[in-house]
Amino acid sequence: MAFNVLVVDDSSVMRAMIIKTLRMCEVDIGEIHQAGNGKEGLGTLQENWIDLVIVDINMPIMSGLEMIGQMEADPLTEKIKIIIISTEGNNPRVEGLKEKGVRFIHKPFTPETIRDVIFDVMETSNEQQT
Amino acid sequence: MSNKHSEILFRVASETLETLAFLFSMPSDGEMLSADSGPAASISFSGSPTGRIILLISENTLVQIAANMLGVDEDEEIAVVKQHDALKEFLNVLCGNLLPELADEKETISIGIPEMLSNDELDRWLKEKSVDSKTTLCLDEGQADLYLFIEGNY
Repeated sequence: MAFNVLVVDDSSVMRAMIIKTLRMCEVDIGEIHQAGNGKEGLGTLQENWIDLVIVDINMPIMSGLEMIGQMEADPLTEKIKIIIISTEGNNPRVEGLKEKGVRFIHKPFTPETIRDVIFDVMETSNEQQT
Repeated sequence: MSNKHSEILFRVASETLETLAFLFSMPSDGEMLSADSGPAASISFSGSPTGRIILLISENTLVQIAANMLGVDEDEEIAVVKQHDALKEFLNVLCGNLLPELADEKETISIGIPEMLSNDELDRWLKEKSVDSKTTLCLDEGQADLYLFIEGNY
């Protein structure tokens, strides 16, 4: 089953890097959507079926952590898989999210790291559905 | 000026550049760039420590970094806004990786949003503020100068 992915990062260059890596992953990726901050990301989630959100933390207007908080509070989005890609791994709130199963990729990343985490997340998701 | 911080600054910056843009850099004892020699960006951080990092870069080097980050040929035209975006993202990643090396690992430090600096703003920072440490990354096409400002004694 193809995964629809939403990439949320205020840097268009970083979004391009992540999307390029996703397309090289040889996994079944469906639609790829983009947003420049958490608020835009939530808007995209309201309008599209998304299976996986890849989100940065440090963004203007609405941070990744605020976005994840609102996703967790909404029954329609609470179960969507989340991968945080950020430099801020020592944030206590990130530690809490990791304990709840949110995956974390530290910037700068190699394409192999993203590929491995995506494979892992998709495999877990497919196992949960069967 | 802290030599120890300058060494850390160079090491973290060169490792970040290598992973993010596949570019290798060398240290340099040569002259730093003048404020009007290329684009500059800045990022602030607050906590313990509080301060700012400023990055001034030669235009050719920035094109090289942006091209590698985007995975396009250097001869392909890259919009200035994309080049600036690449510069700010490099600075953001550098800052996030530098701070754990300077501070206690348990310390939570807030990182600001990176922004471009005008020549006048850069000139003011370099003339009016005391630099904690600085370093230069030498690349094929030019260089990147980094300045670290830290408030108080750290």
